[in-house]
Amino acid sequence: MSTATAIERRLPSLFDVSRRFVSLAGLLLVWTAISSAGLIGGLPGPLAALTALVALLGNPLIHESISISLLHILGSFVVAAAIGVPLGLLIGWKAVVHDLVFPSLEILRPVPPIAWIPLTILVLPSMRSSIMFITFLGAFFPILLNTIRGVRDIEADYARAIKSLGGTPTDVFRNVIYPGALPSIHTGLVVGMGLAWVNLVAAEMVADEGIGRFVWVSYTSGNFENIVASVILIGALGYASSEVIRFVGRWQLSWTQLDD
Amino acid sequence: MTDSTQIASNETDAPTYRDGSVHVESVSKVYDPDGEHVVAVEDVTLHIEAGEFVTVLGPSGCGKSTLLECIAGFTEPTSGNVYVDGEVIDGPSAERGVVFQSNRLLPWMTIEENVDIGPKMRGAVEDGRASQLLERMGLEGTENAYPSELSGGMQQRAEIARLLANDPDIMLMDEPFSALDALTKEMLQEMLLEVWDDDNRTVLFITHDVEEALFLADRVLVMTAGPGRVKEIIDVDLERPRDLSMTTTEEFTALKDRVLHLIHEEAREAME
Repeated sequence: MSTATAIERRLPSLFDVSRRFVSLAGLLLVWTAISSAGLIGGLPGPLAALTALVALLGNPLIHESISISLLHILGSFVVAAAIGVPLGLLIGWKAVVHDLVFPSLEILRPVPPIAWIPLTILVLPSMRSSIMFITFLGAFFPILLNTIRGVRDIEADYARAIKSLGGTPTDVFRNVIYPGALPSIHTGLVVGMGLAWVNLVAAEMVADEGIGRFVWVSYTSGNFENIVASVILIGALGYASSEVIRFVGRWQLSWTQLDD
Repeated sequence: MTDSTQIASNETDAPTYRDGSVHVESVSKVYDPDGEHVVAVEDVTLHIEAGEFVTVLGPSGCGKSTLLECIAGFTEPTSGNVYVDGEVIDGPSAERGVVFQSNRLLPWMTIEENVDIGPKMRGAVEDGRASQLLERMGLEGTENAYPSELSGGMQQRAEIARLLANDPDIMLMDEPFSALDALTKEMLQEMLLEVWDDDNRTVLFITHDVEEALFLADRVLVMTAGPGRVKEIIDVDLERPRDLSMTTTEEFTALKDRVLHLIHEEAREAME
């Protein structure tokens, strides 16, 4: 019942952490084996990739690419959350909004991000806006769908409890719908951030900007080490951005166990 | 329920005069899932005086929870009306507080925030009021805990504290102790009677436990099974204040036999 135990429960134990290192060590081991056996022609080993990565991090060109990409991610993600969360709350809460809005969104949802590229380049004013739109789509649907699910999964009795304590519909929204959906919104944000990176890199490769462009240029110039190094970099950046969201979630939602 | 009456009750031992009479007039509730008529409650008429403690006793599935939902205003009767203090009710209201079967404290709020939520929504939170009520329910020190960190019995007590903070005239309780172990249940029954003795609220308490129904109530409404109708209303003329030792008295046992007889009779009729 004390808060100390509540926090302790949410921190991974030393044992859990060491198991995670085993996973990473295993990955490195497999990689080393494949590259030194020459199974894939030209694939640099972890050491060569690390050297390339360190060199890459000293390159002002990559700094510029990273900051452009982070800007794309941040802008698209914030817009996706700003639209996806309120819209999802309304769709989940009010059947009318669901029927009016949801069917058309469901038609757009299965379209792969790559398929949007030609259309957005034609319709939108700049390459940047195309990239941001496609990145936005990656984040938007997981956020929207998880928010809707979050509202739907709330026990009806919580709303009844608020009403019989004299609450108005606004009170129900503020005290039940929104906080009750938050764990699921959190999951949506984590998944959405991951998919935002997927879509971002695809769009940037085509639109010739940011870190996606850097991967592509490395490919056309045949720099295998830089390709691998930038793939690692993208992985690390994506992971770090999801971790930021997880951290905020665990900090804000200490009343529940988050399952991400 | 003005301020002056509350002050009066603090100064003297005279009972507080509250509103809170409930009149259920020919209420029926028919559910219609997939065109299949399910009559949950049929033609129930019941009058509860302000300050009276009435328990509704019946087997599970007899529609007693539906009856409570109609009085709470969560669902509209298919026919008939529910009156509170002479007026037809229109949806849920703060005058009719509800305690649910499994706790419906908001899991994302601390116990203190839960207890304060009713007054907070009306813009009338008093500092220290929550702690005072929690202490009254034997829950001092739990202010900053989340509901999931409390035991089932503590959660139900916290839910009662949340209700008291809102000061409703009527408490509607839907098998609030049915998920608790026997000892905790007995403790909460006595606690509830103390609270009721102090405050003169009207209580409608749903249960399937014969002893619980008799121990708590002024009157027990025995319901028939599917569709739920009033089988009989039994006056419980046992002395108050009550404690659990009286459940072994001859008087109590006689009442219990009578209720059990009604229930068995009902079960036989249902099988024929």
